[in-house]
Amino acid sequence: MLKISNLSVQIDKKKVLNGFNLNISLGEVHAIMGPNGIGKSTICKVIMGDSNYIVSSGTIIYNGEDLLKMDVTTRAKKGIFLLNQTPIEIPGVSNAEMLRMALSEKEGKLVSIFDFNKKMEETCQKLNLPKSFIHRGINEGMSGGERKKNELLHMWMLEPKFIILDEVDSGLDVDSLKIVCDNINEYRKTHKCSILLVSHHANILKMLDVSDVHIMANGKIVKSGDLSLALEIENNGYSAYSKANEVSEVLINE
Amino acid sequence: MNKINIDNIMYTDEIILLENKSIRKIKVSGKCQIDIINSKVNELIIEADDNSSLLINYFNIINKQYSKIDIKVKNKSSVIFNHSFKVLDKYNLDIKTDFLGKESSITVNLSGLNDGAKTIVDVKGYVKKNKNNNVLDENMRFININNGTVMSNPNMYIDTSLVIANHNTAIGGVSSNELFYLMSKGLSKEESVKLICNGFLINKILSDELRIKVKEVLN
Ligand SMILES: Nc1ncnc2c1ncn2[C@@H]1O[C@H](COP(=O)(O)OP(=O)(O)OP(=O)(O)O)[C@@H](O)[C@H]1O
Ligand SMILES: [Mg+2]
Repeated sequence: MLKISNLSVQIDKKKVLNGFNLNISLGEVHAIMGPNGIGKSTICKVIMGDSNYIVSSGTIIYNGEDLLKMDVTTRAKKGIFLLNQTPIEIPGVSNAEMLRMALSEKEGKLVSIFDFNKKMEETCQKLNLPKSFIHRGINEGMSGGERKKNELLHMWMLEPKFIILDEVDSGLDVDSLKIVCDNINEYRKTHKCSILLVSHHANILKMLDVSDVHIMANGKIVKSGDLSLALEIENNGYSAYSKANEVSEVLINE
Repeated sequence: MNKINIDNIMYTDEIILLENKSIRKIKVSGKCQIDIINSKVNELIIEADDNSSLLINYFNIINKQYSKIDIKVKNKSSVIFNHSFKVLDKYNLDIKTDFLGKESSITVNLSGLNDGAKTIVDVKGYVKKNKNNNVLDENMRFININNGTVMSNPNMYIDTSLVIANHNTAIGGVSSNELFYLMSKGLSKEESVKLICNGFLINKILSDELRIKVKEVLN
């Protein structure tokens, strides 16, 4: 479904990704782990098309199409969805307003307000969010955990096929984490989709039944495995990979 | 009881809507919210009496306009002046604030969308001698699209040390982060810009009724 080959990306003259490869098939859930600042959020935003990041080489093929040639809107319409690590506020623009517009754009016709409201209410209930969230400003004045749930509300409404979850578990209390994981699992059951998950914790990987775990260092994936790899990291940290890290810093600086 | 005098017409309401009016003088004694839309404001004097609380939400789409607004506040009162505007050609806005007494606050929030236009804003905030324990807050935000220009001249004339006074101005284009965010939900670039600008204009309007009216006018 998504194939990233030999991708190099820089921001502010700093090379963050260097020869990055990743292959995700339909229905799979992959997780990326790695130390702070290694480039996990970068790969998430590059897939979505954030123009702050400059792709200097490599390709991203999505369902047989060259993703890097598409603008952000087109990528979203083709089913890519990014839940950002820190979802921003859009002052004065409500969830309902934005989502109705996005759905009309996607379906090429105005969506029925009755069906729309019904689905919004049902989804709020699933996420244990009050109905007032429907008309609240996007992430405005919301707590960290509420923002994550608010983004999942968008996910249910927009029904994406390739879902990127950048630290969806950060800022969630224990109960919310359970609600969120159940919610994502329910989405997977009812929608054909793939997930790319970024997290620092093996816990959520287990709860979301992740099939592939990847460790990032030196701007690329240096080791892949299953859940046991995540547990190993949780016990031993990234020190086994950090030496390789130093070597690459030198290479990049040259 | 509320005594509100707007151009010599008396009101006692807590919420007053002024639509398609020409307004010159607002005098308030008591607690009240005044929503203003599509009205003519050239020279406007706003006065708040002792122990009063006044919230003004004022929205206009402006072609060519010169406005001079004078805000005066007596003792133990608060005035919030929220003015949002979209400028299509030229807007000269002079705002003067003055404390006639003590222990009061004046907040001026300006949110201007400058669409290929020219906006010049002069704000003069006075806190004179012995007018102690007042709070003055001026927040100015402008979004420029289609090569508009904004000149903002904030001035504070303060002659007492017993005062809290803040001023900030932010002038910029449409935030690229906000644009990326909305496009990543499937909105086109044009739709995203429109939503961000309209959201910016209604954001500081603390009145649901006026927000709805502003949205109607903007669409
Ligand atoms: N807009 C930017 N300007 C400058 N540097 C940036 C920018 N965005 C990211 N970087 C840099 O790119 C590197 C990778 O950042 P990224 O956010 O991808 O890390 P991360 O792996 O997600 O870290 P964390 O676990 O802390 O979320 C960091 O060194 C960061 O400082
Ligand atoms: Mg990150």
